[in-house]
Amino acid sequence: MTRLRETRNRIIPYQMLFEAISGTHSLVEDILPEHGIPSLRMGLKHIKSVISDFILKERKGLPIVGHHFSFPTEFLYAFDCVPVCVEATSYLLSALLPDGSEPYYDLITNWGHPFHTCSSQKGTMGMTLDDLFQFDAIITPTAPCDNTYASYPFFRYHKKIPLITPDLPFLKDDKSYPYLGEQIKLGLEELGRVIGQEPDYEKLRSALEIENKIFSMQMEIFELKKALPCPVENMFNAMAAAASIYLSGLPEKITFYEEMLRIAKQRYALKEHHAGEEKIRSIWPYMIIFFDLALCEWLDREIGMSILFDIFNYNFAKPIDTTSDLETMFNGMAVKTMEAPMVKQSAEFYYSFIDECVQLAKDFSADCYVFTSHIGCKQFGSVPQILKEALRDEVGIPMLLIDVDVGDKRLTSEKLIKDKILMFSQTLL
Amino acid sequence: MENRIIPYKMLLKALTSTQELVERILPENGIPSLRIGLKYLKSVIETTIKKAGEGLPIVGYHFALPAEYLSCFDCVPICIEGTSYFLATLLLGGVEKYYDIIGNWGHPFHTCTSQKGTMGMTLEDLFRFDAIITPSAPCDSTCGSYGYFKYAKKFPTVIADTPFLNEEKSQLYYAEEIKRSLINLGKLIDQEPDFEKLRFHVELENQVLKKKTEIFELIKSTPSPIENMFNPVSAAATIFTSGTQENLTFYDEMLQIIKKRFREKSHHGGEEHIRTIWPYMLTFFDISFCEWLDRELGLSILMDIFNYNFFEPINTKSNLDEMFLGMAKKALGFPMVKQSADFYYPFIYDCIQMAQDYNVDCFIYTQSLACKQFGSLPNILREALKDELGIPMLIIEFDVGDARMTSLKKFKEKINMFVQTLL
Repeated sequence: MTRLRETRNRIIPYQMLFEAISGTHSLVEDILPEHGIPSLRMGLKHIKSVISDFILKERKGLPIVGHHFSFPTEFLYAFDCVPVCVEATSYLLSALLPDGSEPYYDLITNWGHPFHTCSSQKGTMGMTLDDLFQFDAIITPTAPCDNTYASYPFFRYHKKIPLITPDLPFLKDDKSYPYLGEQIKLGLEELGRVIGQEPDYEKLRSALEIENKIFSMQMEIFELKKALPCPVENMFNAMAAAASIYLSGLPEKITFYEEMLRIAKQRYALKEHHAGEEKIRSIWPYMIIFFDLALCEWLDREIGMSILFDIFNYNFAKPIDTTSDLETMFNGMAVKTMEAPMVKQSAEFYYSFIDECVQLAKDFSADCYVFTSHIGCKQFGSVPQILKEALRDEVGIPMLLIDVDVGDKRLTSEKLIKDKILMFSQTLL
Repeated sequence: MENRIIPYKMLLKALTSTQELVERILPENGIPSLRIGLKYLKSVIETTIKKAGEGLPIVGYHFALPAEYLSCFDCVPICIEGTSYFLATLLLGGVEKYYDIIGNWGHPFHTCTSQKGTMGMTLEDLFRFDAIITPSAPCDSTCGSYGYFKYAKKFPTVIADTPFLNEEKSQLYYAEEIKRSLINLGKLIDQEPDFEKLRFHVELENQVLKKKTEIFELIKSTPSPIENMFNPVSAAATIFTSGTQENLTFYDEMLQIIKKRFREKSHHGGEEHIRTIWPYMLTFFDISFCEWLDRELGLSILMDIFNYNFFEPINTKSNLDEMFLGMAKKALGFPMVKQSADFYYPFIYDCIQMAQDYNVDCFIYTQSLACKQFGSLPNILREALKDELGIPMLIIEFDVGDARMTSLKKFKEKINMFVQTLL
């Protein structure tokens, strides 16, 4: 297993990602002032280091394991493997490549996959169709939406990649967690058989403990965001989302959060805002735009609009009990999985989503919501309208709804998004 | 009190006039499934309206929850999806008006019309539900639409959590969920579920199953002894009349006719040229299309998604747990729930097997923008049918309940062109 592989690279998109991150990182270091957008600077540094390590592991011949973003990466550290997040790869490349991931969306559409499904999966599907990824196995929960069911069969049937599918319940009650806990355990055991390894639960435990340590820092940053002005720059949301996938279960994530917490505390103490003045405090209950992360900075600097958080930054699962027996640990893993971004929101017909949004608006003194709605995310259906009414009736704040594909700039262009937000912000000031 | 279910009154009127037309215009033996089906559907809808008039609670249910499960209550069961599509079939202007009403309210255009119709009617207060019960399956349109009933209209909604995998422990999980949700529904409408009544109606469906299986077997013969129209009428019977004596009588009468045709090797439309399977749905906005295929093209629709899903009879003789386990298995094997599960393995496997068993010439797959859950499936299925059996599959993009997406004319043209490549 430790012999360097002579065969072709099985994770070419990670090589592309590494090069794109290196280029962006150099630009950030060379162009930005020393304290400019710290989350971007630190995030890129750590993600680059981790991707570099994945590439090295691939060359050593470790199995390539694809996983859905709602199957936490650290669960895969029960194995010596190279974890590849199907959804995050499309979107991180969409953020960093000059042409985005659009060529790969088109490849898979030309093959016969419907245009109106999630671009986060279409990108990696296109790359896999082109054999840029050669997965040894893929694991995905049966959540959070139809796009998962619509897209993963491509890997199983067309590319003949073994697909493992822990079943994830829709409701959250007493029997759901043990059911999912067992499913995750069975899923990991099955994955182990496919890649010829026994799951090492001690290694898994260590990775979970790293995540437990991060939890308190995440909560502290989240709490600090209640302050006016918000002591965290908009870009943090995007980098924290990327960190939650690529750095999970790794010491780099601890360092990232330690550094970010220190800066947030410092800004809080000085009542300082990253971009000068905070005029509007917004919550983006769904996603921010991935095909152009510069939008985050534009909002901060040009409009003075803070994105307090997006969907990847207000869902926190309690630390997992790793000190009792395995069953308790898997139960905790199940709870964490069901509290993961999008899984949590797509469950129970949105009761928790709407209720939580109303509460967050109050607790964080939000002036407005911005909901990015996508034709691929059919599971949200009436939610934007119901949420808009709830925010108006309960908190008296407006919500802007933008139809967009966060990973494909051709649906709604960056210019159009900016125009819409500008017009909306004028109604607030 | 009847005015709590105005669309059912519209349905009854539409059914009555269609039945009159059928009786007066068609020859005595013309399209028997339509004639017989309309008769029994009308009878069940009349009973439903009468019950509403008596003040019984109005319970909306998702089509993926077998209707007979609600027979443990004295209630008026209203199928959300069935209502939209049945009215789409029978009303002159379809139900497009209601799709637009809910679209204007703020519901996305790209979700399922089967729900949008009833949502629009409910927004107009044509339905006033006392409670709604739905499984958390089979697709995002359910999750995207039922939230409206719960939050915008404040109807108490009970959800039975449906697992995605179909294996022993998921069946046990779902059995418990069905039982729990029936008990919860009972609390909402202030009734104790009567599981003895439920047993009786489940047994009726066991008898229906026997007849359906016999018909399914007879369809293997050439020519097919069923007319195409049997498929939509049978779908309506499954949704609206499950657990009733009318359902049993419908299949009983149909079986007699089908057996006779089988013995005589007669085909409803004259001559059978092409045998097709429609693994997904037919058009509901114009079911006369079925007859056109039979008579103009000699194209038999052997089955659509509502007519090839069978399950083991439910064991009603043992204890309640056994019965609920059987009910869970049936519900997990229900049309669309079965196909949307297990990442399509059963769907693709079934299609290949049926194509072989039924001597099929081609598949016709109707694909809707709303049915995102099927994603890559049409292409995977097309490749599988070509590689394993060498038969083609036509894919048509359309909306089964909205005549504006792909018109009937366009639909016919596509099939006509496809058929020319087969003959």
